[in-house]
Amino acid sequence: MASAQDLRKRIKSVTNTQQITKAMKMVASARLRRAQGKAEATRPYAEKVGQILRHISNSDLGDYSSPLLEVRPVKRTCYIVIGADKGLAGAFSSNVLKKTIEEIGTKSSSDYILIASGRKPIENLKSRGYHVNYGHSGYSDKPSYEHARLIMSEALSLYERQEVDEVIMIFTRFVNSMTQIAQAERILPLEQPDDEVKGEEYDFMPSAASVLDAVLPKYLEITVYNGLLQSAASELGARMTAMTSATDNAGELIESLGLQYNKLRQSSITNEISEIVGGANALR
Amino acid sequence: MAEPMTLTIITPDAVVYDGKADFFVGRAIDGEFGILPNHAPMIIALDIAPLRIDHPDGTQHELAIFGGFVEIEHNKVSIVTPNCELPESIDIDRAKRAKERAEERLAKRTPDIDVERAEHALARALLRLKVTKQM
Repeated sequence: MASAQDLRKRIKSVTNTQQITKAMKMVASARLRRAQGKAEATRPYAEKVGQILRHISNSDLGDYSSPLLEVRPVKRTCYIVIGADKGLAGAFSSNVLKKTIEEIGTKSSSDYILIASGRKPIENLKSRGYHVNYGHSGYSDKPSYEHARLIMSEALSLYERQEVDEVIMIFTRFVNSMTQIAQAERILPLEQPDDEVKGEEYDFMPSAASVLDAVLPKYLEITVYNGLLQSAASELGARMTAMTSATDNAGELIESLGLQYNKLRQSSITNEISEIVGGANALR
Repeated sequence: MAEPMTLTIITPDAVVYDGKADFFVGRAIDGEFGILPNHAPMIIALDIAPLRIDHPDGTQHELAIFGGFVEIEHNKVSIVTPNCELPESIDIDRAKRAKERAEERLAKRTPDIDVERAEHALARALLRLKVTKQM
């Protein structure tokens, strides 16, 4: 049985841990609010770009077709894996990893190219023997548009040089702070949006084809940016949930240790009293 | 005069500008254009260039627009751009340094240089200097 001193030490250390997890929970929840706000703020831009794309595909393009829309038989695949820089976020990183491994399946290393964002996916994939071609890290909880542009330009140049025939993005969709879903989405070749927008005919300057050429990369960038922002919000949400339960668990532990400590203290007092009483009785 | 148009400038991170305009001038990838109120529906691909807005109260405003699109419908104009900067928020020294760096790279043209990227960097730096009236 542990001594009273050991128990006191233990309680103190658990209390310290609880304070740390509580602080991390608070930091995560404050950042989560900001990340959600940011994800919200990109919506008008994403909607407008999508709308322009739909307007173009409704108009007469003649026989022009962008290479980004062309479907080729898939020989090699590029995966963009978006994860976290830091741990302590529950199952967040392992869910991303699981999804990636599931997506890659039995492909040999010459059949895919990996672009990983976040230190955790880079390390985890490397330690499992996957070859990571491009790695980016240091921004997972506060991504900027520049990061999305960088990642997309790598994927795009691979695609344009026909080194890969499709691009799949693996990210975590943020549902709410309790639920985040790791999912894979094919972003190249682009699927033509088929929902008809009614309304008037648009004029294009200089021409529909050149506007299409300009809008497609922007559309892809915003898709990746959205993936980064969703993953950032998911990471913070997962961390907040994990830290909340860690704080609760520490509280429970402190309570049960306190009970044990008090029992021990009481029994030692009882012991002392009965010794004193016993001693006094013997003297009489 | 016709009723002024509603102009919105949208970037990935925020709606930068939302107001009325009598006229605006920008540069498309094939040349300059100006838009007056009640224009027919149109989509324009923008170049990296300054954008001038004439407000109904007679004032003018110049912004740096880093590519993107203009969409016009029903006297409503949306400018969708990856980045838009106000002259006040531009770091002139940084833009000057970026210009020198890009020019140096383009002058040397060693094989490991991404010419397209350097040209882009130069265009961005020149635009920043132009709207801050440094050149």
